[in-house]
Amino acid sequence: MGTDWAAVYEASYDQLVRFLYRMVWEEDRAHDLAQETFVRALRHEPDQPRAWLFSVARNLARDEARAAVRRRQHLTLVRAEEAGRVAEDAGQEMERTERHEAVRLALESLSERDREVLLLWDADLSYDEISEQTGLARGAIGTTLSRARRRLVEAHRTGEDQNATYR
Amino acid sequence: MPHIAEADLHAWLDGALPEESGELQSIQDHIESCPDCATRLQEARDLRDAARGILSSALPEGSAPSFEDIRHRAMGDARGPAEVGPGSGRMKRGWLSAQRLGWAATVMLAVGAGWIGRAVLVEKGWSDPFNEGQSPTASRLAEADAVADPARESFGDDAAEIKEESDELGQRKDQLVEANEAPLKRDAAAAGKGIASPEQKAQRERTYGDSPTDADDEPEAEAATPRRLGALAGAEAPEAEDLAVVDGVMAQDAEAFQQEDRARAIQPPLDPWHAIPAVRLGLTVSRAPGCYRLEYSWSPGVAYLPGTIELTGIEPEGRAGQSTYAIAVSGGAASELHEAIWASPHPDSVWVRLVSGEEREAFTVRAGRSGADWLGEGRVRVPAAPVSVGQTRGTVRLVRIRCEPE
Repeated sequence: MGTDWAAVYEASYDQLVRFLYRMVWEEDRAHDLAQETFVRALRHEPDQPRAWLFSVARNLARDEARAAVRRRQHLTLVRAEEAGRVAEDAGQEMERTERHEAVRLALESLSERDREVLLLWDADLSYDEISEQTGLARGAIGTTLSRARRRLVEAHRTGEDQNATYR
Repeated sequence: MPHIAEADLHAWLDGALPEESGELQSIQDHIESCPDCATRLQEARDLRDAARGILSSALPEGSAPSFEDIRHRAMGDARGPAEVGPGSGRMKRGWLSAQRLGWAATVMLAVGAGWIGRAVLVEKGWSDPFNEGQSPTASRLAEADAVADPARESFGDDAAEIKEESDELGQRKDQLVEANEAPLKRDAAAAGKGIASPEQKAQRERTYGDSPTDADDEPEAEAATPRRLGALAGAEAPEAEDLAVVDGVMAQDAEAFQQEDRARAIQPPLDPWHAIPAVRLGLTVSRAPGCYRLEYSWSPGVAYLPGTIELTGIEPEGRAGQSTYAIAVSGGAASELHEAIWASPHPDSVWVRLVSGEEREAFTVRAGRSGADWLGEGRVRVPAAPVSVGQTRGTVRLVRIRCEPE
């Protein structure tokens, strides 16, 4: 009650999209799901808006990711392509695609729990909020984040090395 | 005091230790007096910054709609059950229309960008091997293709092909948008009919705060009998030089060859159809006769074109240099494949383009000789994905096999 939803929207929309994008890897879908999450929030007016938003978004994204896998089992989508950007510099565009692909692959090397904790941290959620979202004890968040960061960096570095060799 | 736990170092860095607990000050004091922990703290900081940097290198683009739009949509959704769920609602429909228009624009601009990009590449010496006018190989292949099967579309008429594909993409985009919406509407309808139990509904309510969203299942590709596609004659009258001669020519022109390699090294990782050096196309049409099996693997969990793909390049007796290309496909790949074309513009290069699936994914492969085998990379581009161009990459191995008689 009494939530300034315009302020919440202003403060959280980008974070929510960023979080969702790393789960579904489609920019438009991430925006779509973020908007849907806010629409539902406005109708429910939860007491803890931010926690509620990420909780619903996380579940929507999980379903979305599963649906995407089933829908296109032969394919891993990486990113949405915007024509204006392509027109500016096709090479830059491909570079961006590969950069996102590298991050996606590095994230996929993490366990689901570690990945979620890392992405929630990256979306600027506090340890308390992450704990609430994931059910992990607050004291375990630091351990999980430490492990997840190390794994991400290592996997990303390995991917870069392989790419360099491959080229 | 024992050394600081790794978890506490990260929590300290993240500002997650409550000030009132005294732990914050205790750790601060310890770090100042313990060089080991100070070093570990720096390592943890570097790790955190590196992780943040990696994640920040894959940020989504796009801007938020106005809050008023979202608010109106929430109000609109509340007015009728038919409008519940993502991909619905008055504002949403308008947004989708805009999205469709945007998609059409994307296609046209992407095509335009492709032309621009290709022009740049051609100017730099790169050429499209299957574009008429750029490569004699392309036109010949297209002609041969048309002769072999007039019903198949030509690769030569780019303008018509682009327009046709753009129209198709627009239609598919609409279909996919509808397909995405369908399960959500179906769920909403099912909930309205009381299909879900009250417990299930309550659970969904807690979990999603609204009507459920379920995944849709699609049937897997059926295996099919083998078939042969696209017998293509590479008809540029090749010179009678063999591989050794070609290699010899290159060895004599070492400087030019090195320049070419340098140019290739800085070439952006574009679709291989735009990546064959023009100079090499000028040298040869096909210098890799023989039979090959294309082996490919993708990222974990990705199975693309399951089955076997074999490539054949032969030079019929009495038609020196007139290579005939063919692709034999079996397994699941056969049921999905629409178009197939391959060529070997250089003794060390093989290029394959396959178009398959309902969404007409373009599977492009480039492979280079590595000992007895060929190694390379393949890419899948999915033009019909919703407002997206999907792409994935895997490894490709082209294994030379014994040619079976017809």
